[in-house]
Amino acid sequence: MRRKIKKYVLSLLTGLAVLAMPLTASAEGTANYCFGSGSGNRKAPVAYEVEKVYHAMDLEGVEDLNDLASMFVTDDSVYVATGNAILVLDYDFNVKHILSDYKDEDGNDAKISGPDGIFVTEDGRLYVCEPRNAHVLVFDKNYKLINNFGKPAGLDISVEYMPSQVVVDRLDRMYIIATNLYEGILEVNSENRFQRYFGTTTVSISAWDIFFRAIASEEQLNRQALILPTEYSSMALNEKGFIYTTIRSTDVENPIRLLNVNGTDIMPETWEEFHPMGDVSWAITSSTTSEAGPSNLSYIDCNEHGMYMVLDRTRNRIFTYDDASNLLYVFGGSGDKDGCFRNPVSVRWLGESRNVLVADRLSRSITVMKPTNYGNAIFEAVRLEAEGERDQALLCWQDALDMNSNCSLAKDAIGRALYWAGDYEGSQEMLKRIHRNDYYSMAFEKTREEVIRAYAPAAVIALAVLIVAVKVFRRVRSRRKGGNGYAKG
Amino acid sequence: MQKVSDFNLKKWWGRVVDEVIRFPLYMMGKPFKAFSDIKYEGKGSVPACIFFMVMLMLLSVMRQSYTGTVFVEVDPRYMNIWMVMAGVLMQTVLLMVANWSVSVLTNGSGSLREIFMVAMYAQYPYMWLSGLYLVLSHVMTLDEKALLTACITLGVVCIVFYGFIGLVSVHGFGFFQGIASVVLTLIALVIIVFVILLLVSMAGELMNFIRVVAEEITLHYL
Repeated sequence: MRRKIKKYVLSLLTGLAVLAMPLTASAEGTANYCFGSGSGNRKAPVAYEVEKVYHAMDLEGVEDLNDLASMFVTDDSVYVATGNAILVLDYDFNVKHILSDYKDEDGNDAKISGPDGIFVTEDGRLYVCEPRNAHVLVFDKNYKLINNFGKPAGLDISVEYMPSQVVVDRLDRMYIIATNLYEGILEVNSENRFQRYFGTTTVSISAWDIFFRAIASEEQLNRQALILPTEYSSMALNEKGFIYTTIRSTDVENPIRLLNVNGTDIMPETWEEFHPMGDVSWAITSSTTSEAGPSNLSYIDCNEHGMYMVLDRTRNRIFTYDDASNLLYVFGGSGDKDGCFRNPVSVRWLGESRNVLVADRLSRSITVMKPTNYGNAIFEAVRLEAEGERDQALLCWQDALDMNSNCSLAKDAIGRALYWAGDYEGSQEMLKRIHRNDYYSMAFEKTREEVIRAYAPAAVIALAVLIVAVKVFRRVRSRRKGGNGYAKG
Repeated sequence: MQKVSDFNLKKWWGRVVDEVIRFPLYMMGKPFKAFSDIKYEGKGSVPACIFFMVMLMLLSVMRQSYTGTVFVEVDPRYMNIWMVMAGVLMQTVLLMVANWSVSVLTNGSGSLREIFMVAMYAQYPYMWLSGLYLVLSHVMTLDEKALLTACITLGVVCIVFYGFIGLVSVHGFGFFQGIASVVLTLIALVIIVFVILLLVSMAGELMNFIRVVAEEITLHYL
């Protein structure tokens, strides 16, 4: 509890500090930063740079990239949902297929219109959400319609059914996010029968709210925003079957969630008990831009190394985290130049390569970002750590530290490794500046033990000698004074 | 005025030991007796209390800059020594003034000088315990943090305990009167802080107004 309070005070203070500073960071485009050792953000080397920006004219046979909605990447293809088609591209952005017309279940001609979330299973089935048509379309490998899932059977809701995001697990169960449905993610089985709400969260009402609502008049209550549970904005399925989600609401403590099969949030906190949440300090108000307030997370993607990245719509930044919720790097930003975004809607890793795709709805483009040396060093370190190659990972962390002496992640990793390798003093030196107290304390315990072991015998002997010396001195003095030395004892 | 030739180092040292160590220890053993001694027999000394005050200020600075790495709470690079010291001084002065103003209204018989001495002697154990905390924080690990927490908690308990006894004896209050006066003191404290903030902000406004007027005049006529 005390920690919590301290945390709030700290974030409040950093918020105030940010307020006091001139807002220059927003104009810097792909600027990267890392969370420093308890004292605000520090500049870091750029982690990702632009490799190429694709517009419609760069893609053969594609008329426009209007209304980009989302992307999906499989082992060999990139699926892009635009306003009236699903584009299937290979990794070099050669067009493999354009899916815009299809035959519906009655054999009539139909067109893709306003698709939102898409998902492709391992055996190549393509799921397309069309919120305005209230259905999820399923296509096979040859882009023939297999299923047209309307409103799931057994789902009793009072609002219009608008599926916007879908993921499909190995048992062909669909997890669907529907707009304006606050109960949670819909879990629907392969026969389109509604099973349960998944990842439901309860609303927390503060004491002040209860008090206010008790005394407020009807008009005041009408003006108040409804207190609604959180609405999920995106999902990504990792290879273990867990679902990463982001939450659009900005006043929850844990806007990025990792849901297990049970639907509970198992996202780890950092060792300092912080939740990943995009920016941790922000301007509360800002007169120059609309970029005030906490991060508004709208899209998430994860990869097989336990990393995940989220898209922040407030400042158009992309945050990448490792599996222990440490922020690895940030890139993106608002602006017109390449590497900045105006209305990014989707981010995806380009398969095994470390490149990142960002779809921008307003500039109608897809940007391919590639890691710089710094970004690569961190990516490689995290990958090696995930595979258990700790020694190799250490070299990469050292590289990252050479490029950015503020890189507290690298210091942390190296300091902990030194501890396990038995170099306790080196470990202390590394961990001291970043205030990694738990490991520092463990290393300190070891060095303290060494000191005690080295000096304890000498200290005991010295103490004994001192006691004897004092006794002898006293006895000699009292004898000199003429008294009987033994009488006093 | 004492002449330099009359200065007896041994005697002076004896007095220092009496006032800085013996009397406070006596106070800790027999608080009621000691505080009434302060009031009626002129025991205790203001210079010693000022010395304690300075020590407390120094200790609060040292707590922030020399605590062992494991237990650091505030980044010492961003500490302002003067603000930390002023903080300690201000809270003592505010508490004294608040308590004195309440005691005047409620027929408490303590003077400002006596209240000051009570405040300082009550913090005497705390002073040593924070010193101990400083030393221990360099040899303890995170697992042994409970000991350090206990150290500081004990100090705070001592402040409350001796402070309350001191105030009661100095003002000649009973137990419940004492409680009431403490509550009133806290209320007075809030009012004082409020008034100070009000004055400061108003002074700021005034300064701003004068600056604007001066600016207008210079732009207009010069």
